[in-house]
Amino acid sequence: MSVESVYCGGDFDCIVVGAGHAGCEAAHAVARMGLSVALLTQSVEAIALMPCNPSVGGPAKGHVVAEIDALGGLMGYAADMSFVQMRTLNTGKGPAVQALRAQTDKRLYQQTVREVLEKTPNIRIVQGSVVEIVVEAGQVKGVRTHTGTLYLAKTVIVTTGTYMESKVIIGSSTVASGPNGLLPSYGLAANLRALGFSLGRLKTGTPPRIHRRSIAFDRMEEQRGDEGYIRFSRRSVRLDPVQLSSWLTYTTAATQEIIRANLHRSPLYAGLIAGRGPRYCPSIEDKVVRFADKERHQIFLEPEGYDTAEVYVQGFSTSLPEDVQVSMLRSVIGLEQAEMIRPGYAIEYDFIDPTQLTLALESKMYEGLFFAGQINGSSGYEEAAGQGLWAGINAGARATGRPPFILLRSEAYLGVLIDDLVTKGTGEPYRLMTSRAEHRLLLRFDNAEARLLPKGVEAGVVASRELARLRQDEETVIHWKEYLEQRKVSPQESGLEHTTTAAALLRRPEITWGELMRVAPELAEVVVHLAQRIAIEVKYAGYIARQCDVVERFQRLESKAIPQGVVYSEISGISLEAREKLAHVQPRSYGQASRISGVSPADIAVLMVYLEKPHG
Amino acid sequence: MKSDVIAAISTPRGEGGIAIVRVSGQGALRIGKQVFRRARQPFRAKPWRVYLGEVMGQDAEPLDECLFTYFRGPRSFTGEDVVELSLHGGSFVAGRVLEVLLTKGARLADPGEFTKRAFLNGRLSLAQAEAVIDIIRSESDAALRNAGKQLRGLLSNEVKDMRAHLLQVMAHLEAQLDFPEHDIPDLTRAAVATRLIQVGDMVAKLAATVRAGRVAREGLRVVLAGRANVGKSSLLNSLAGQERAIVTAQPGTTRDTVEAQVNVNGVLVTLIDTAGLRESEDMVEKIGMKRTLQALDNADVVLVLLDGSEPLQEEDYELLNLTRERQRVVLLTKADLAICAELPTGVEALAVSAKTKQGLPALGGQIADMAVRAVSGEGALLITNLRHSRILVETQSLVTAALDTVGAGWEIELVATDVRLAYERLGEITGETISLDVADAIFAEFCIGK
Repeated sequence: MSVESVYCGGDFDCIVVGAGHAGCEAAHAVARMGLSVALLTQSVEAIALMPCNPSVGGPAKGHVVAEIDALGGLMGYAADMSFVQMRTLNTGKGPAVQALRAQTDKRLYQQTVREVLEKTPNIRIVQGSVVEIVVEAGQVKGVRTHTGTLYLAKTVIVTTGTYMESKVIIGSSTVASGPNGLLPSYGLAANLRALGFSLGRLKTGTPPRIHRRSIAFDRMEEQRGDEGYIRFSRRSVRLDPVQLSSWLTYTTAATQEIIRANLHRSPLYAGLIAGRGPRYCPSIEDKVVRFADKERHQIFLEPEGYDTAEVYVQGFSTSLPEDVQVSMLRSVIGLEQAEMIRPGYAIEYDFIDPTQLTLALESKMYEGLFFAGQINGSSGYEEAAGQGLWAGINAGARATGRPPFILLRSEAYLGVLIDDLVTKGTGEPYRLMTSRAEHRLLLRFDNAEARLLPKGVEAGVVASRELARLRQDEETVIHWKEYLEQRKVSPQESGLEHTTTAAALLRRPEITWGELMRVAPELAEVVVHLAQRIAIEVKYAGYIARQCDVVERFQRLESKAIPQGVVYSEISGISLEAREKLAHVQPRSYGQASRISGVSPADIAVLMVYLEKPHG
Repeated sequence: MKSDVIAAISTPRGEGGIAIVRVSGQGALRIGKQVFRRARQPFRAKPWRVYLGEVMGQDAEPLDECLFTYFRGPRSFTGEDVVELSLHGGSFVAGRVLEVLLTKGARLADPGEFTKRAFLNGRLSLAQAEAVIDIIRSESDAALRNAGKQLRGLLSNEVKDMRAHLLQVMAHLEAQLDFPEHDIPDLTRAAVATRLIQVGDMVAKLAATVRAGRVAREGLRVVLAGRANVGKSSLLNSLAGQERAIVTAQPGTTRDTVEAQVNVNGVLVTLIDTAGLRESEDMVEKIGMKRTLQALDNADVVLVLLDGSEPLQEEDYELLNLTRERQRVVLLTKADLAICAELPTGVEALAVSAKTKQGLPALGGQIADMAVRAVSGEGALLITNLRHSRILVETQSLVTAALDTVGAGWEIELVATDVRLAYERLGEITGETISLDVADAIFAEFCIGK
């Protein structure tokens, strides 16, 4: 079929395939750069769908949301506009691991994102299922849908999430289906294989949903939202909503017995599932088997929204048969009468090996072809959205001839996420964690704007007028930091023996900002959204300085470039596996090379000695 | 790997029983055969066999009798084709042979290039390469034994053990931070502290062997201190001369010190004379004092020399005072003359005479005792490498910092961050943490032909 004889749906700077969290961020980023974009989705109803947990944020994930927001993205704004509960987790555990988490109204979240996209002039939302990526001479040209329509574009971003050749498994029942009973995506996987991509299979799962009226809340522990909560985005405007509570309860010995007695009926243990599941989000049957000596497991009941009775059973992901799910639920404290609305399920889907991508998330084989989100082997809405934004900015850069947009591991969680994926690849759905960030003390929630907003302006995804606001913030921060260093605190004020300064007082581990405010009431003048950053940067100055030294060491490895075109196959001192991996990834620096799985430090040492040889 | 042919004399300069010229690289056999002639022709060199023949000069004239050995890669030291020509000792013949090899297409090897190629071809690990330097350099049994231990991986095992402890603490803390709603049992501050103290002790114990390790590698530093003309040089000469195994006797690194190395009961002893320190005038007096102090600082043992033939002077008292806390032997020199010096109470001295050798055997025995005690250490393994000792000292302070963080009541995130720093730093010893200077540092220490 020649290009001329078919119906052409349009010619764009960019086409985004899929309108999940990655796709929406990607399309919006491209549009913010002033470029035209077509957002193709199999179902317009499924735009920004949250098929699993009704929440956004948490450790590392919340940080990513703040970074997305600093780069002008959607997720933080949408979470602010749709939350039913806002909480900061990990308070008291350290400055950089404190994490904002929103419980959201799923429908409100979708509606918010859809409205923004619909109101964005450069975005054309189109319903259709993409079955083919059209390429020509190593260059992407567009896509073709199942109806034969051709869409042309300079760049294409593929964000198929968990839909590609997906199967939903409950007990012995296996159905070709996307999440939530939506259509799977057929044909594209075969097309990608034909184009030379290497694909794999992953598995993830979701717990059952139950009816609110069947829950005995009086036997559970209530978890309320924070009263003086903070938000993800400085752009969101919403009156304080009524916050809904979540509820904490536990499994019992009976739950364990039911699971053990029915393990043979589990598709996982019966070998029905080929894809690898996430270690950090295991199913309840997995937890019972792997932590056999643990008497009970925590279960959180989370509302799915304001105007629905559905409640999400967090910590209870399962693919056991429906009847087992019901008995399991009814063995949980307070769920004796549980009325199950949707059963939990496992879902299996195709993903591409992300080591086939550059740090810009662009294919190494085809110019202009990008991949983002769960198709790259990640898990989680936030990880998907972050990649979508990143791919969107890079597609825009490609379309306009700008240099790629890349953040280092020492600059952003986004940098950690992308570098981990394209350098190491993944054998299980990849989840971001604060421990994956070597320099987390610098990658805080409170300084996300300061870190990234200027980069967003430079990349063209943030309006330059926002810089003025940032500059003002910076002046305020500097002013108060200096003030704290100079503000004398008398023994009468502090109860200490000697006169000290407010900064020195704050640097005592046991003194919080709140307590300091009692000593120095004028600190109430500090605007709320900057107080945390000022407090942290003063209180932990010593630790932050130490982390900066580490970053310096890291930068040396990152900036020590490896020339392109090294013939790895001839360096016999490097293990065979490492030679293949190095040749495949083609790392740009020693830092990147050292993070490739299968490449040992000994291999790196050989490479260093080999490349610095004086006679070449 | 494709590589050019390198050649070098692999035995030490100077007179010796044999000299070996080593040739390595693709074509080593072809080049080697061009300078070698066997009685029976044609010569088919089978690998790993030794052939007797003659080595020839530029004009095909025989230079020397020669043993020819061909090691076929990868089963050779470098992993490449290697030819070794064993000649009669003396650098002259070896030098001539090397010159001829260079005209036949070989290139003079860089320092450490043979070992580097062995490393690049996977014949040696980085840690082993480091141990090879120590073996080449070892000048005493103690140093050699210790390098052998390192080559067998003893150090790596100990470092891995310490890191495993740190990793366990990290894993626990990180799980609490990343999974706040997963009721992971908290690791208490006390438990973290206990683990850290344990690791701190392990690091400290290893770091404490640095001195013993240095003694094993560089020798026990014995400094001779005393006024001018008290007899330091004569004592040094008699001590050095009395031992048969003089290793070197050369002017020290500064003009003002003279060093001699002797091997006492398998332990290397470096005698350092601070001669001339106080022989300058007025202003320089102070500088001289400073130098003496410096020399004393670096000493393992101080020999305090007092002139026995005359009453003690102010400087003598000063010196006795300065060295009160040090490991020292007080000597009354010129014991062949009448002893006039009176020692302060509590100070014992050995009377010696360079002229009559009186007291010298006893002094030699004491030094030997101290030397052996210094290297016997507590642990089985001694740290001999400067890079290792630097990392251990840094790790020690990082573990201490982590303990301070725990003790002061800072949040566990900061504890976890500190522990990670210690964990990463420690890994630089074994190369598990990559650092740019490792490879450079190691191969910079080699000399040509190794």
